[in-house]
Amino acid sequence: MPVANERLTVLLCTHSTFSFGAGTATPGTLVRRAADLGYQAIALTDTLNVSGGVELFQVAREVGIQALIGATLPVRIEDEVYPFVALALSRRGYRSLNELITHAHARAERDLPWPVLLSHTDDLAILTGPRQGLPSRLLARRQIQRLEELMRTLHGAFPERLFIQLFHDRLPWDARRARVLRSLARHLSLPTVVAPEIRYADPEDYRLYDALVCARLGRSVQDPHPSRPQNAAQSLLSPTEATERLPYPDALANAERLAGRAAFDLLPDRLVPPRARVPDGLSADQHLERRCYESLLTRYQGDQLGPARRTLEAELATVKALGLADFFLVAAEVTDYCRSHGILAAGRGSAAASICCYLLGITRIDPVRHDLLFERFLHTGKAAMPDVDIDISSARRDEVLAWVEQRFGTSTEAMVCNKITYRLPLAIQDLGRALGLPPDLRNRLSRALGRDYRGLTPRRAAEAAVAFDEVLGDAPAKTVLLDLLQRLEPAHTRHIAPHSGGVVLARDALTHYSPLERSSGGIKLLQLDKDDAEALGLIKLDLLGLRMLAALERAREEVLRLEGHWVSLDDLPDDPTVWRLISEGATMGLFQIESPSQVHTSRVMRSRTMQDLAHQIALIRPGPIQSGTVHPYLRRRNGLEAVRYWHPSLEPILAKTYGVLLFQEDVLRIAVHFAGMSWIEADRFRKKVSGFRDIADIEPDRVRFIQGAVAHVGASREQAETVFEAVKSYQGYGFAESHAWAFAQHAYASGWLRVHYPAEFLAAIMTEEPGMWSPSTKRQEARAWGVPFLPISINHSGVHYRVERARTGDAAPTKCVRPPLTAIKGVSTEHARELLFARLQAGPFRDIDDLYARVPLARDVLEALIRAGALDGLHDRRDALYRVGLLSTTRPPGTQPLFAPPVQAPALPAVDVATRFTWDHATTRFSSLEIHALDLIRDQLRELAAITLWQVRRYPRKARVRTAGLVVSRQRPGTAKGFAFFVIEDGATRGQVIISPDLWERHRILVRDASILVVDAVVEDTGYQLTLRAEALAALPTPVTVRGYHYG
Amino acid sequence: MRNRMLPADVAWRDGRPHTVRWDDDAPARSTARARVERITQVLDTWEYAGRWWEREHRRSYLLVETERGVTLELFREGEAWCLSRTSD
Repeated sequence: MPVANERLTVLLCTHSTFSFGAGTATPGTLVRRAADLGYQAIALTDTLNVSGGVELFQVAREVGIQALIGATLPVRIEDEVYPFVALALSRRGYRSLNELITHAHARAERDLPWPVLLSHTDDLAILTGPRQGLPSRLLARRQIQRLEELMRTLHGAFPERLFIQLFHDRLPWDARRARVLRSLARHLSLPTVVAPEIRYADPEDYRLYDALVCARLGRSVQDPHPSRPQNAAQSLLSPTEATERLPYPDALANAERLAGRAAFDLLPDRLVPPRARVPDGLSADQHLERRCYESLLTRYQGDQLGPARRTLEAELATVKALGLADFFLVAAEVTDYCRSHGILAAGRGSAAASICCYLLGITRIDPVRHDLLFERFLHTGKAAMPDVDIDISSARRDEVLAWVEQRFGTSTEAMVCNKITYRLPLAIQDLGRALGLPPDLRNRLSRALGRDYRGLTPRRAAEAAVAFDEVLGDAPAKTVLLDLLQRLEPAHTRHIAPHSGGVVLARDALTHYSPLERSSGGIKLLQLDKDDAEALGLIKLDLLGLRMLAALERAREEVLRLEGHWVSLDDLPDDPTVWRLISEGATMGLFQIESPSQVHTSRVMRSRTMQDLAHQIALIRPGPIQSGTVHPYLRRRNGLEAVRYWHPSLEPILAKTYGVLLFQEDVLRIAVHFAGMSWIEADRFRKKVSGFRDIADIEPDRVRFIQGAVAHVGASREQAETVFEAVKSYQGYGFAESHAWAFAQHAYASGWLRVHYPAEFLAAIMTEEPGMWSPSTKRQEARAWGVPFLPISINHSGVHYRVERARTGDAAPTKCVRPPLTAIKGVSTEHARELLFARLQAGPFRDIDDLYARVPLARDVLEALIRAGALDGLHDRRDALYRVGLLSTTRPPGTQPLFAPPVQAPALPAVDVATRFTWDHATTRFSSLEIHALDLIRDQLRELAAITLWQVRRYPRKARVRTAGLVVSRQRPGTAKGFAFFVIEDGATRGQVIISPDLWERHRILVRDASILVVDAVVEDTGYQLTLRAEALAALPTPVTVRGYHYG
Repeated sequence: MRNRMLPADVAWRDGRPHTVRWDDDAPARSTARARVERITQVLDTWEYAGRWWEREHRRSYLLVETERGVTLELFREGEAWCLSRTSD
C-alpha cells in the first residue's frame, strides 16, 4: 500500500454492534460508509468479540477496500482495567487474538490479566487504547514513571508492534492530550498512530449510541456516567475531518503502514472436516466404503441391490472428490453412540436423500426406494457445507453433547451461535429503560404490540403507532423512543446465544477460527453463526433436541413397564386404524399434523400411505402455500381435477406430486432438467428464488431460466414463463422431500402409539410437551381418548406423568394418567425426588404434620402442593394451608417436634369447586376436575343465547350461530393475507374461528386480550374440524387463562 | 473561572475567531456598555451534544485568550453565541 501522509486513509479502531451496547452500526454498514468516504482500509475492533469478522471481510471484498480484524481487550493491571486494541497481523495473529478473547471470557471479570496479554504476542500489534486507555489515564494522574515502566514492558513483549494511539473526540483538551501522547511516544521511542475510536456510522446515531450505553449500564439518560458520550464525535468521520483533528503526518503514515502489515484474508476457499476414528491401515475413504458396502448387503436384496449399488458408487465418488469421508464417519459415530445407548436419534433434512447416511445408520429413510434427490444434499460443485441434521430425544441430548465433547476434545468442539437481533418488544425494553420509562409501562407497551406488531423490526416501529398511542398517549418520551427505535438497523445484534443444535467439530483447535465463550447456561459456543462457520471452512453437525422423540421414547418405556412389550419404532406395522385416526382429523398430539390447518388437510387428504403422510406434512408450509400448490394438489389427489403439467418434460419430475411444486427438490430438478442449469446453478437459483425481496433481483434469473428452457427442452416462451412464475412463487420455507419422509416416520410412530397405547402416549406427551397444545387442552382431549385423569397426589404422584391402572367409579380398572408433582409450579424435580424418596423410606404421608416432619420443604413449596390439590386425600385445602401456617411458626420443616401437640385448626369452609378449579389452573395449568372453564360461566352464556361448540358441530354448513370458547391458540401467519385463526375450546370440543382482516382491525385490542371469546359466526366446516367464520366478536372475563400456542 | 452565561457576539476573520463582544448588564444589553475583546489565541475547542432527550441543542465551545490576557469560554448554540465563563 503506497503511503500518502496528507490525510487519514485507514480506520484502526472501529466498534460495530458486536461490541454489544457500545456501537450502533453493523460491520457491513461501517465498511460501506468507510468505502464511500474514501478510506482504503478498516479494522473491526469490537470489545472481546470477532462475530463481525466474516461480514467485515465479505463486504470489504464487495466494495473493494481492505478489511483488518482485531479486538478491544480490557486488560487488568493491578486493580484497574484498561482497554488495549489488538490487531491481527496474520492468520497466526488471529489465533492469538482468539486465545486472548477466550481467556477473558473464561473469567468472571471478563478481562485479561496483564501477564496473559504479555504471553500471547504472536503476530499481534497493540494500540495503547483511546480515552480510557492506560497512557491517557496515567498521564491524567501524573503517574509518568509507572506509565513508562508499563510501556517498556509492553514494548518488550510486542517489539516493533506497539503503537501509541492518538484520538480526538472533540472533548476539552483532546488536542493537548494528543500532543502530550506524542511527547511520550518520542520519549519512549515508540511510534504513534492516528486511530480515532469509531462507534457509529452517522453523527445522527449519537443519540442511539448514548441510549444503548445507558441500557447496557442499567441507567437512565438522566444519570451522568463517565462511559457516556458527550457529543457525536465518534461517528465515522471523513478523512479530511479526521486529519484536521490530528494533523500529524508521521502518525497518519504509521497508521497506513500498520494497515499494510495487518492485511490478510480471513476467508478460505475450502471446507475442513473433522477427523474421524478410522481403523489402522485404512484411509477415511476406505473405511467409509467398507462400512457402506457391508451395510448395503444387509439392507438390499435381489433386484434392489443393483440400483442401490450404483447409487452408492456414484455417491461415494462425490464424497471422495469433496474430501468429506471423515465428515460422514463422524456423523455416524454420533448415531452409533445414540443407538448403543438406547437414545432415539434420526437424521433429517436433505441428508435423508443420501444412501451413505442410510447405510451408516445416520438416517432411517431408504433414498433409493423413495427416489430422493442426493444432489439437494451434496454434489461435486457444492462449495457450501452439507447439512447433516440429527434429531435426538430432547430428554437425552445433553448426554450426547457431553459425549461429543469428550470424544472430540474440548478445544475442537463447540456450538455455533445465533446472533439475536432486536425485535420491537426487546428494543422497547432496552431503550425504554434508558429513557427512564418504568418497567410497568414498558411491559404494557410490549403487551400492547400484540400479535400484529411484536415481530416487527424496530425500524418499522411507526407501523405500531396505535400501540404506542394506546400506552404512551402524548408523552414526549413517545417521540424520542420512536426516533431511537427507527434508528436501530434491522441486523443490529443485541447478543449472541447458543444455536439450537449446530455443533462444529474441527480438525484444528477452534481458536484458529473463533474465540470460545460459555453461554449463561454453560454451553460452550463460538462467536460465529452457522453462516460464518461455513464461510470460514468449518463443518457443523446439527444435533437437535426433538421433544417428540423424547415422548416416543418415554411412551415406549411405559408400555414396557405396564405390558412387558418392547415397541420397535423402526418396524411398526402398516395399520389401517392409524390411517383411520389421521383421516378423521383426530390428530392432537401427533407429530407435525396436529395444527388446525393440518387437521383440515388430514380430513381432506385421508392419507393412507407413508408417501401421503410425507406429502401432507410438506403441504402446509409457506413455500407450497405461496405457490398455490395446496388446493390443486388436494383436488388432483382426490380425483376432482385432472393432473396437468406445464410442459410434458415435467411429468417425470412432478408426477408423484400431481403436477404441482411441493418440495425443494422439485425446484432443483426443474432448474436442471427443464431449464438446463448445472446443479451448482440450480442450487443458487433455488436459494435465490425462495428468498428474494425485490423482483428486480431475480430478473437475470428469469431470463436465464426462460432461455434455458427454450433451448433445453424446446419449451415455448409462454410455457417457460408459466413454469418460472410457478417456481418464483415458491417463496419462503418449503420442505426437502427427504425431510418430509423423515418426519413422516415420527408422525406415523406417534399415531401408532396414540391408537394402541393412548394412556402411555398421553403421559409421554404431557411430560415432554411436544407440539403446540397446552397441558389444559391435552387434559380436555384425554376425555375424548377415554383416558381418565387421576388427581395429583402427595402419596401417588412421582416426577413424571405415569400410567396407573385404577378404578374410576364402578367401571373395571382401566389405565389412567397420574400427573406428577413436578407439574406444580414451584415444585422442582429435586423436591419431587425428595418426596418420592421419603415415601419409599417410611411409607405414605399420613397427614400434613407427618409431611412437615419428614421432608424439609419450604413453606411456599408446601403451599403450592396444597393449592394444587396434592394433599386433597388427607385434608381440605384451606385446612391444610392453615396447618402449614401454624407449623411453620413452631419449628423448621423436616424436623420432628419435641412434644407432639396436635395442631388444632378451626372449622374452615371447604374450598368450593370453582376455587379448586382456579387454584388448579394457577398451579398446574390444568385441572383434574371433570369441568371446563366455560362451566363456570354457563349462566352468562345462556343469557347471551350462546350455544356450546358441541351443539354447533351438529349444525349444517352455512348456518349462523352464536357460541363461545376459551381461546387456546392464536395464529396470524404472514402467508394468510391478514386473516387470523383462533382455536376456541369448550370441554373436549374445539373449533377454529377465522377472523377477517377487517374484523381484526375493528377488535384489535379485544382479540389480543380475550380469554373467552363469544362469537357470532357462519359454520364453515363441522366435525373434528369445526370451523367458524366470525362475523362479530365479544369477550367475557374468566378466572383462568390458557397460555396456548401463539404464532404470527 | 467565573460563571457568566451572557449573550455574546463573536466576529470571525480568515476562518478564526477575531473579536468577542458582550454586555455585562445583559440581558438589558445596552450597546453603550458593551465590552469588546480581541482574541489572540484559541486554546481549545470542543462540543457538547446537550440533553438530546429533552431536545436541547448542540453546543460548540471555544476557549480563547484575549489580548488583555483574559481567558473566555464561549459556546454557540444554533446561531447564538454565549459567554459562559471568564477567568479575569
